[in-house]
Amino acid sequence: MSISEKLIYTLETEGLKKYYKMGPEIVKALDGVDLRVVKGEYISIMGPSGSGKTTLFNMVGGLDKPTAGKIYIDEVDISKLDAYELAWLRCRKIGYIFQTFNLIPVMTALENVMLPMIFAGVDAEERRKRAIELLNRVGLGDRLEHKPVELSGGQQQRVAIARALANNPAIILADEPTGNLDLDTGRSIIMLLHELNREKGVTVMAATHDLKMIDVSDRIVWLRDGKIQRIEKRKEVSLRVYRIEEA
Amino acid sequence: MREREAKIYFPTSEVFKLVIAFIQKRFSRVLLTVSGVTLSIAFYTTLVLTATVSRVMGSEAGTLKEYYIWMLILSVLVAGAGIMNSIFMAVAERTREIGTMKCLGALYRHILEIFLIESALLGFIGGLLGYIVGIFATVALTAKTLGAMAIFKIPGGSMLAVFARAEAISVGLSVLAAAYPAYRAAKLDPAEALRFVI
Repeated sequence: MSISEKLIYTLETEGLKKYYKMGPEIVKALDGVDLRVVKGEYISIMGPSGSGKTTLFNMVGGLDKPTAGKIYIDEVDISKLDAYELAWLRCRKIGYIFQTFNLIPVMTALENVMLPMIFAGVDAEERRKRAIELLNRVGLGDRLEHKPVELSGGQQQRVAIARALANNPAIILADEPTGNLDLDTGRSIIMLLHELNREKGVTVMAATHDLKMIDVSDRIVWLRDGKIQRIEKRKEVSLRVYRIEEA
Repeated sequence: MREREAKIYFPTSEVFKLVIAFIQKRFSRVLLTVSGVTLSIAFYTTLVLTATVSRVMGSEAGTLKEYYIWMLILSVLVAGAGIMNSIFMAVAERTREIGTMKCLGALYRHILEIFLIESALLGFIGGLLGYIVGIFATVALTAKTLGAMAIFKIPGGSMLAVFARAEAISVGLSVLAAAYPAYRAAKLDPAEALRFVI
C-alpha cells in the first residue's frame, strides 16, 4: 500500500478508560474503548443514557483527562497536552455542537460565529466575511444581527453549527444535537450536518439516541456500559431497521 | 508563521465589548451594585472636600475626625461586599457560557480578564458618580457657613487629586472584591460548567 492510499485517522482511541469514584464505589464510565475514525467519516455513537457517550465526548474533546489509554486527534496524543495546548486544540481542531445550543446570549448570531475566530487570531475583516459566509450556508443569512433569544431552537442550532465550523476543525463533536428539537427540525439539522460533512470533508462524530441519525452515518458505534458493543456500517443497520418497520 | 498559528488571542478591545454587553443586559442590577460604591465614594469625597474647603477658608474644622474615618472604612467594606456578591452572581449565571467559551478556546486568564475588567468598570463608574455626588454634597454642607462658592477656592490640583484617590479606592476595591469570584470562574472545569443548570 502506497503512502497516498494510507487511511488518515482524524481520531484514534486506544484502551480508553475513565473511572469515577462515587463514594466507596468506582464507576467505570468508559472501560477500554478502541475506536478509529477516518478523516471525513460521519460516525454516530448510539447507546442508552449512562452508556458513556458524554464521557467519551468529553475525553475526545479535551475537556476531561482519561484514567488510562490514549486519544489521538490528527495523530497528536492529546493526553500529553498541557492546558494551553488543550485550549488551542479545542479552538482549532474541534468544533462542538451541544444539545442545548450554548450560544452566548449577549452576542448576535454573527458575533457568536466570529468568537472562535477571535481566539484563533483571524483578523476582523476576514472573520466577518467568513462568519457571514457560514451563516449564509446554514440558511441564516437574514438573521445575522439577531440575538439567540430572537431565534428558534433550530435556528440557534444552525448558528452553533456555523460556529463549530468557524476555524475549519478536523472533527465536529455533536452531543445529542437534536435532543432539544422537534422531529422535523431535528431532521433538517441532521441533513445539514450530513451535507457539510460531505461538502467540507469535515469528520463528524455525533452522540445520539435519535434513530434518524442512522440514515446519514457511515458507521454506527453502539456503546453500552462504557464498552463498544458493536460497530456497524450504515447498510447493515438501515436494512435491519427497514425490516423492523416492515414487520 | 508557526509561532502565530500556535497562539490563542482575546484582544482587550473584544473583552471590553463583551463586558459592556453583559453590563447592558443586567443594567438595573448593575445600577444597584454601583450605587453602593457611589455612596461610599460620595461619603469619602464629601469628607475630604469639606475638610479642604474649611482649611482653605481658614476655618477651624480643617481635619478629618477619627470616627469619620472609621465610618468611611465601613462604608467602603460594605460596597466591597456588594461588588463581590454581584460578581459571584454573574459567575453563577454565566457558568454555562464560561464552559462554552472554554470549549471554543478561551484560556484561564481570558475568563479572569472578563470578570476583573467588568468589576473595574463598575468601580470606575461608581467612583465617578460618587465624586460628582460628593461635590454637590460638599456645596450643600458648606453653603451656609462658608458660602455657596466656597468650593471654588479649592485649587484644581487638589480637586483632581481627590478624584484620583476616589477612583483608586473604588476601582481597587472592586477589583479586589472580584478577585476571588473571578478566580473561581476561571478555574471552572469546562465539562462540569457545561452540565451546570440554574
